[in-house]
Amino acid sequence: METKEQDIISTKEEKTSFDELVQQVYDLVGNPISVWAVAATIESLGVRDVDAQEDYEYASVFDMAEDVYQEIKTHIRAKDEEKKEDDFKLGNVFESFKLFFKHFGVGLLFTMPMISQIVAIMVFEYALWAWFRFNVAQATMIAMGTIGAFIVTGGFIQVLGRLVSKYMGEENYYLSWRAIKAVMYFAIPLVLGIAALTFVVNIVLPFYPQRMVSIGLTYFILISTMMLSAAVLYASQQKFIILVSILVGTFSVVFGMELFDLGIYFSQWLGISITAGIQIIYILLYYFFKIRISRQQLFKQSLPKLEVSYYNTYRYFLYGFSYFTFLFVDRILAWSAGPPPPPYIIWFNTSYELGMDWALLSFIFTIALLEFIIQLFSHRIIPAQKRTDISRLKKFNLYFSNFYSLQLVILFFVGIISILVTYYGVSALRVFENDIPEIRDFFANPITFKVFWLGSIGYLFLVFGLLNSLFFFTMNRPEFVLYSMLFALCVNALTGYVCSRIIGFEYAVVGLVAGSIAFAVTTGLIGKRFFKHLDYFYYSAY
Amino acid sequence: MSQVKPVVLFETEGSYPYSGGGVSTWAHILCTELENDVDFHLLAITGNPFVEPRYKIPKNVVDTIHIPLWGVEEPVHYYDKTMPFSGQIEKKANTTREIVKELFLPLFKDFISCLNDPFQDVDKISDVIYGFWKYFQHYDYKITMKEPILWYVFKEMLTDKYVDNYDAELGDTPKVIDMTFGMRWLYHFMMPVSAPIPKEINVSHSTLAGFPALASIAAKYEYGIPSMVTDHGVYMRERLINVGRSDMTFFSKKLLVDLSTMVTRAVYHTADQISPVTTANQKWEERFEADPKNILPIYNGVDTDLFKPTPKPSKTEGVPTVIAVAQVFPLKDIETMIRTCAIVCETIPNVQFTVYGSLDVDPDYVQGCRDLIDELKLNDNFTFGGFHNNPSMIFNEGDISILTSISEGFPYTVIESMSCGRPVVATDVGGIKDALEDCGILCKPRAPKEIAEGVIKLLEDTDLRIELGNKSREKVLLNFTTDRSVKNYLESYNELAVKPRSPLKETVKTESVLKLLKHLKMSKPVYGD
Repeated sequence: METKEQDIISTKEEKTSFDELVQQVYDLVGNPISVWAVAATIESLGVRDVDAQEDYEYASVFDMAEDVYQEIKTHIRAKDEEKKEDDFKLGNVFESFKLFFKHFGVGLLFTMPMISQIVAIMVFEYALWAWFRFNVAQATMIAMGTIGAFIVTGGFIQVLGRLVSKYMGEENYYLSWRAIKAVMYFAIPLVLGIAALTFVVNIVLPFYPQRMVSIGLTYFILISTMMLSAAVLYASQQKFIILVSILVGTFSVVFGMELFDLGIYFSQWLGISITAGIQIIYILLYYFFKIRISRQQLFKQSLPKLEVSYYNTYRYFLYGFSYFTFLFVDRILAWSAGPPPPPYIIWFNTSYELGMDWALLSFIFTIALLEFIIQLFSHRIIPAQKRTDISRLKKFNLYFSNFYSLQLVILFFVGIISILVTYYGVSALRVFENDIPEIRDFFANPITFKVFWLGSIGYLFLVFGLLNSLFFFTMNRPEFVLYSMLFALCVNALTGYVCSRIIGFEYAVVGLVAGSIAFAVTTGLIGKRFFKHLDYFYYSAY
Repeated sequence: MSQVKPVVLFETEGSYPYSGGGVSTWAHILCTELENDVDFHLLAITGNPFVEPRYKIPKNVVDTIHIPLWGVEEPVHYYDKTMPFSGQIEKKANTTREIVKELFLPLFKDFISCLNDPFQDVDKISDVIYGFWKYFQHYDYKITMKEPILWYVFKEMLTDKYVDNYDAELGDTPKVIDMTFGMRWLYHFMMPVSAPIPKEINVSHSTLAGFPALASIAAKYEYGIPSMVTDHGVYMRERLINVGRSDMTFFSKKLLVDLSTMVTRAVYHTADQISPVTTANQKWEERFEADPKNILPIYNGVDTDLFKPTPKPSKTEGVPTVIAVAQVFPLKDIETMIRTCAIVCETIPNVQFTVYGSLDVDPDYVQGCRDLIDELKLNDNFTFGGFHNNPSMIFNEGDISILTSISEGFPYTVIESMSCGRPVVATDVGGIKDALEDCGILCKPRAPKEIAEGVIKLLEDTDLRIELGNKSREKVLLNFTTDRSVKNYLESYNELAVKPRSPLKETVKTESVLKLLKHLKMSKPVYGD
């Protein structure tokens, strides 16, 4: 309500019944919209025409409303003159810090599963699908299984994110659950179908020994399942359980190896299965109880028809698919290039992979910042909308354009610092070089360094693109992200192909750099326009 | 009378068949009682899509067009069952930026000019609403409404009206959020204007003079289908009260009220019959363009076989009992009822006031009432009965009934009590006088002393109480029975169904609409034509 209890209109010592009526109307409606609104309000207070005549000496309620309206407006105008111009401020710094710690923390939590894997590798030598002692053939199959899982489930992950977030935003657990089931209905058969098809094709056209393929496909199926369930948890805002399940899964690998001597494959399959199992059981219980408590199953609710759902989500699907393909296409290109020619069509290269993993460290620290930036944006936009007169619309857009530019600068510095910290942090391990052969091996190949530097630069640009994408997704504009990503993927693949074939296999990473620059620039150009017309994009975000 | 069976497009908002309440009950009775005489196509507007009918839909309701204003990403596909989604995609493909600019933008500009001045020429407002409907039969609603140019025109026109020509009297200027909400409201509230109109209907009947009746306007223009509106309360009056008191900024309220005003004016203007449930609302209706000669009140009716006089049950026998049926919230002014009880107690110490009705609408208000009961030491005399599982028996528990509302339409509770032969002491607001005149006691609102005098008079004077009770029952039997009410509607439907049709599209004068019609005439048919 615009009015406050203390906002008294009449300062007379002895108030007439008319003064009291004016105050009553003002308390109820604040600044009245019209005389008629006042008349309706007076009537709603039980004052009739006959009362207007007998108690207030007016011909009718409408006549009296005219005077009540004028009294209130006079008071409002007097107040208005006292009001000072409330100019734009760049927000409360303390508040921003509070948000930073909260949401950067949440962002870091999201990266924790990845970090936990790195720590596990360093401490135990094992992670859910990594092991220091894998040979190249094993690493090839597992990497292929992992990459395949990311690419095949990528589209579904995005669709789950979209649908689950939408329904959870409406606190509709029932439809959220229905949407999850509907997506899984397609995703799981597709994963299994691709696995079966790959298995059969490899029998007909033996690219790899069948045993290798079987192992790779097992990883593919298990990691896909885990990715899908993690995506559900992520979109359902149950991120913590992802970390817990991954930690439990990782310990299971250690137990499998150290206590039960199951061998690396079975230990890791057990670990991934346990991780996925915990996630799935949690999802089942979470939705079962949420739906039961809210009694939402009692209402007749249904998802849109299939064709409408396709239409509403295909952009998200294509984006997810393209994004994960984008992330791995350089590896595929590098591992399939020579000289010397790889023994199989795609053959894992340890030094390339180590360089990329090293670069990924800098990426995950920077990406944690995105959560904070988006939250800060959401936190500021409604107050700014409320404060800004439409005559100062340009200032509103300018304010957020500046906000955007500032975030780009912060992101740039955090990115650079993150790369340097990652470089020097990991390089510091060289002091153990003489004692730990794995560390010596890690730093032995200059390709690792080359890939790290280029990969880090690529990831830095990618983060800029991802920040822009988050703004676009927030405003329900997936098409901006999709077209930019498709373009970036083409640039990545083409550049990576040319460089890896002409200069050297490790230069596939240049594709990642070029693709990321393309993604950052394309989304950046759209972003510039987006913030210039933010008022429009905010309105049309339905 | 005609041989044509009325096929009615029955338009509701927030009521039948998806919600309970007085209007829904009335609508259900109407549909059910006319099962053999009238076919209905429901056009039901709700807030969200996930609602289920609360009533057993009778056989004569042949179709339901359910329009949820929020919560659906592809709204038109949700309620337009005449076209598969592939057809909607084709509509989307046809909705190019050029089409929007060429055909819709002029309409939109006219629409916003009407919104900025909702009391301007009502013919223009009606024309533009029809133009919208016609346009959206061929082009996609969502794509059109999201076109940036509309947003910028909206901004320019608001700026021109409220900033460049600043009116100091308003005491405020629009904020960006007003514009955002304003445009989003247009998107949501105008959705009914994109609904298809069933070709077989020959009457349209809106249960309120607001957004559901947009379809009536379109039907009147396109096919000349006669329309009627029932006003239970006065839509605009309620809108002014509710929006005025809401927690919104000044201009958000203003845009919402202005939008409702222009729609209501067009609805009244194009309606062949306006049937309020009481004569009390006429002055409000006339202020919003209702032609007095089209106003034909049809009172609500009560089932007199169900609501019939019976002796008091043993639990209240020998106790002077005053019954009220009302949800406990400020408009019912239960506080005045409590104060009335206190005054009555001074004369009749064992009087028992019981209020049946929901206590969930405004818990703070309920608590305030309970505190007042404690303060006045009325715990033995005033009780909240909550929900009663046999509504027809409620009034027979008492000697008389009471209603202390400060605002009312034509309340069922009054005629139900009258039908039970229990006279009513009520405040003289809304249409209560139509029911109680000569058979009950009418009082000034918020006047506990006057109301208490009425209560005491009836409780102490048994002869008068019996006399007024009998008169009440007679009056209901004569004027306010369900049969009579339904018969009045049937007569109206029959008359309207055979009324010569003269589509208003022949009378369109607004340039933007004429341009659209000309374009559509010349262009090749699109999907569904």
